[in-house]
Amino acid sequence: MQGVMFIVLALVTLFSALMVITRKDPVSSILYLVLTFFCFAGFYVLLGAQFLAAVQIIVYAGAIAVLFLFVVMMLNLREPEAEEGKELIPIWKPLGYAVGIGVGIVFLSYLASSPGPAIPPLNGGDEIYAMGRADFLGKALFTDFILPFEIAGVLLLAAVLGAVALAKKKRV
Amino acid sequence: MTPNDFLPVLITFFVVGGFAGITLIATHILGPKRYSKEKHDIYECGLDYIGDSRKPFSVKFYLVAVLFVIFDLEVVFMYPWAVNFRHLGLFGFVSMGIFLVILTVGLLYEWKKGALEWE
Amino acid sequence: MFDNLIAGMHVGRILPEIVLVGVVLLAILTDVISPRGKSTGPVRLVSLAGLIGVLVATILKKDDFGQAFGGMVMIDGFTFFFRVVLTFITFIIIYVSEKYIGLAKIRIAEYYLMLLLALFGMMLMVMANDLLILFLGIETMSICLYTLVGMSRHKASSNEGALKYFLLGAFTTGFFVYGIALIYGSTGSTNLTDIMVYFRTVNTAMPVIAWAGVGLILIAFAFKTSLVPFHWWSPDAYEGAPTTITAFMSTAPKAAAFAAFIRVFYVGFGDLSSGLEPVLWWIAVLTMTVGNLIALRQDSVKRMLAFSSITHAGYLVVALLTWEQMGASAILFYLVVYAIMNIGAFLVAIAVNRDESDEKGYSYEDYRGLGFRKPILAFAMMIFMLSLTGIPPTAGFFGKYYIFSAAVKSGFVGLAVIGVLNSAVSVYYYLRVIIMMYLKERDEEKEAPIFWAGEMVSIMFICVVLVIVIGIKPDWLLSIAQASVSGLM
Repeated sequence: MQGVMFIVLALVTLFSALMVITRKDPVSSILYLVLTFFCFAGFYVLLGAQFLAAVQIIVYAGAIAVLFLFVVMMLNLREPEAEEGKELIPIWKPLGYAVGIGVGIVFLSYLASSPGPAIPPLNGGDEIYAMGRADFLGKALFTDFILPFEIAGVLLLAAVLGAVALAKKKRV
Repeated sequence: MTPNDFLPVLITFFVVGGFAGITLIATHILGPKRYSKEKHDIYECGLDYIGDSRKPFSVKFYLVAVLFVIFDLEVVFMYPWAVNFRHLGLFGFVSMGIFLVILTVGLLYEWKKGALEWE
Repeated sequence: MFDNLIAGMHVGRILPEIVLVGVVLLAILTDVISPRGKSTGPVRLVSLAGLIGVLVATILKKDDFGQAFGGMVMIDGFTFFFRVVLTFITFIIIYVSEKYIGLAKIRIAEYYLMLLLALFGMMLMVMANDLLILFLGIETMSICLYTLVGMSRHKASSNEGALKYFLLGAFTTGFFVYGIALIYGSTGSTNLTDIMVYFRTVNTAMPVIAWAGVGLILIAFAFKTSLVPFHWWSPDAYEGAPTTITAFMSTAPKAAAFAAFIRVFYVGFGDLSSGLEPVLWWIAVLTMTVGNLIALRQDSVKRMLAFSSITHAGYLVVALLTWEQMGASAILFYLVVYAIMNIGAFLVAIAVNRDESDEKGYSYEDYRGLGFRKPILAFAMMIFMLSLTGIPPTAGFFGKYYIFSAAVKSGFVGLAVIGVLNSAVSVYYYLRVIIMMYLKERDEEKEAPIFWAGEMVSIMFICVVLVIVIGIKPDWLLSIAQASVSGLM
């Protein structure tokens, strides 16, 4: 059941991610991006990270996608006119393919060789899936990861200041 | 909670998506089609439209969205704390207190700078 | 149960950072309660007083070394050294800025607040013993720097620099997080000590995926320290930023990034040195040469200093890839010396610049006959230029000397030769300033008034004195640097 779910999700993710980068209209790109975000949430559920899945939908599919839409509308992007043969440096495209294929090879070779990751393997069972619950996450966050948590507060403060300093209309 | 427990969520997802999709397709197939200039206009009657519907947005929309994301994340951090409130006790309370003080100062700053006003 | 937990955290060891956060909050509140448009003065005073508090806290905790928060951060001599250096640089920049930000039309309190928050991020970077903390530190610092670069919103160059820096920086963040994920996937930890233990045990059969992770993290560091070929952002960001911020960016964040670079690659990836050597070798050669060649062709002193800072990063990589205590201490020495002479040079550039509202500005022409017009200012600039070139008896000479001798001792003779040749090339553009000042006639009609501020003059004076003092007697600084890195190896 989960294997089937994974394959379906993976196919939908790949399809929507490809659509994001191939659509000419930025608005439909973003709508496919939202679909991709939803698929990620599905993966998180399959991996037993339910809370992360909820966060993924709230933050990414909700807030971040709106942010993307605002940027597109702010910049007033239109469908770009076809400018064939006007690429700045013709090497970028093959270079991009090369990097993509390289990353693919790395992952395939990893799967093929597989000395096994150092992380204990997930044997299924309820214990592993309990790890993704909010209460379990909270216990880890407020004991072992208390310092990163507080730093995240300062990071958000810096983001608030930066956003206001740059985007707020100056008062005379 | 295993992934199988999320089956109802998945079914809801499909039902909602399927209903919306089928409705759209059905109206497209079943509905009558008469094409004319008026039908292609945005408004069939009333004022003639001018310009483009894609107008550049003011940056202030964006500022609100950014601030929303920031406080959205703050709330995300509060949820795992809230469900563990009893377990974490005073230690968790103080930890969250520090976090909130830092961000409340940020909120105070926004308020005072007028970032929350619509001008 | 939480008593044990709290005792095991050693919260006291990060007292300077706690003080700094307090200072940031206090400075924001000062900004909030001050009357509109008049808040920069009070915020600046609070920041300066607060930074002194941070220094005091750092010195108070001088002997309380060790890990804190379950090994997430490491407080040792290395951390102490950089805490002091970074706090000093931030202090100096805040101290000299008040009059300049009026001139540059960016008189807003966020200027100081962002500098303080950037310092917080850098403090995290230099003490991070866990990739998570390092990531948070880099992000905090970077967000502040993006804002600072784009602060002159009325200038196209500032917006351009900030946008380029931000977009490329965001990509780098992606690389960095991806690298962390791959490292975590193969080693099972984000803690540098655990990662080292893992690499030591499986050294012969390293999974490809771990190498990919190391490579991605290397790219992220190369970006943050502007190494070729990840240097494209830096000249535009440096040029668009207000000049005080350019001085800041080319010194403090660079020092913090190199500190983290050293800790991650010496502690975490120390056993991979033989595999990383050829990559770093080429990066070092390219960085030194490309930075130099482009700096030769600049007509703006600010841009020239920006490109030459790429070259200086190349010298630091030469020392880095020795994987020896001597190389690491040479980096620390060089970072301090470079900060002193570079801040001095940028301050002179601010004083001499014709028109701050000009998009480009900072032309070599402004220096025409400066030696006769303002002899003392010209003398200071000459000292900084000589030091940047690496001519004795200035501090810059010893900085390069230690780096290249460390390289030679570790068997990188070829690299040292290329480095020395590059120093010779750099003579051309540094000396061009001196020639302009002393060998060209004054052109009184075109002369613009010098921009003076008492704070700038005093810092320039201190920089000149330090460059000469370290140039004559470098041992004390080197021994401090050596003591600081001894805990790392």
